[in-house]
Amino acid sequence: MNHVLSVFIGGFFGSATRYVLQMIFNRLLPSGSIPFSILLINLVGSFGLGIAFPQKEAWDSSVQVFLTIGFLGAFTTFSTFSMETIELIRKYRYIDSLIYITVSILGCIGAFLSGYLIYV
Amino acid sequence: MEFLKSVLAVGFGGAAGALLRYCVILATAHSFLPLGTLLINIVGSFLLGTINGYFASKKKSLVFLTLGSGFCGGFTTMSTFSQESVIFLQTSVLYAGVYMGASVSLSLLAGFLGLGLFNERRGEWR
Repeated sequence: MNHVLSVFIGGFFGSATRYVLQMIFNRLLPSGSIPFSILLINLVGSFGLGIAFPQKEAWDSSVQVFLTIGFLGAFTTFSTFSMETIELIRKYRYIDSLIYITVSILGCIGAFLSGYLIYV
Repeated sequence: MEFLKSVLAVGFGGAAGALLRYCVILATAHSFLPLGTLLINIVGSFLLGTINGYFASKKKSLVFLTLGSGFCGGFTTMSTFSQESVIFLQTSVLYAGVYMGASVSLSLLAGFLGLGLFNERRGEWR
C-alpha cells in the first residue's frame, strides 16, 4: 500500500514537473528544428535514474519506488518521443527524425551510464 | 489559473499512468525476459497516437492534457528504458541492440496506427 501511494504521488509530481519544464523550454529553446524540450527532459531524467538507482533489484523502500518508478518514470516519457518523431516523419523531415531518434536513444542511455558510473 | 489547472490535470493523469506502469512491471517482473517496459512503451505510444488523432480537429481541453501529457506521458518511460538497455548491454550488445531497435520501431509503428485510427483528416499533414 505504501508503495502504491509512493508511485502515485511520485507520478503526479514527475508528470507535473515535466509539463511545467516543457512549457518553459518551449519558450526558451529554438523551435522548428528538433524537439529539444522532451529530449532535454529525457536526458536529465535518465541521468537522474543512473545516479539515484543503478541497481534494478533494490525496490525495497517507498522512497526508492517514489523516485524511480514514480517521479523519474513519469518525468521521462517515451510516448511523446514517439509522437514527435512521427511529426517529423509526417513533415518529410527524415534526416531530422533520424537525428532525433539517435540522439534520444543513445543520449539517454549515455546519460544513464554517466550517472551510474559516478559511483564506479 | 488556467495554467494551474493544466498542471493538475497532467499531474493526476500522470499519477494514474505511473500506477498502471507499476502494476505491469510487477506482473511481468518474473517473466522470461524483462519486457514489461517494452510493452508499456508500445501500448502508450499507440494510446497517445489515438488521443492525438482524436483531438486533432477538436479543441484541446483538460481531458486532452489529462490523457495525453498526463496519462500516456506518465505511463511510458524513457529512464527505465535506458536502465534496461544498459542491463542488456552488460549481457550482450546484440540483445541491447534488438531491445532498442524493437522499442523504437514498434512504438513508432504503434503511434502511427493510433494516429490513423481516429484522424478524420487522413493524409493531411497536421
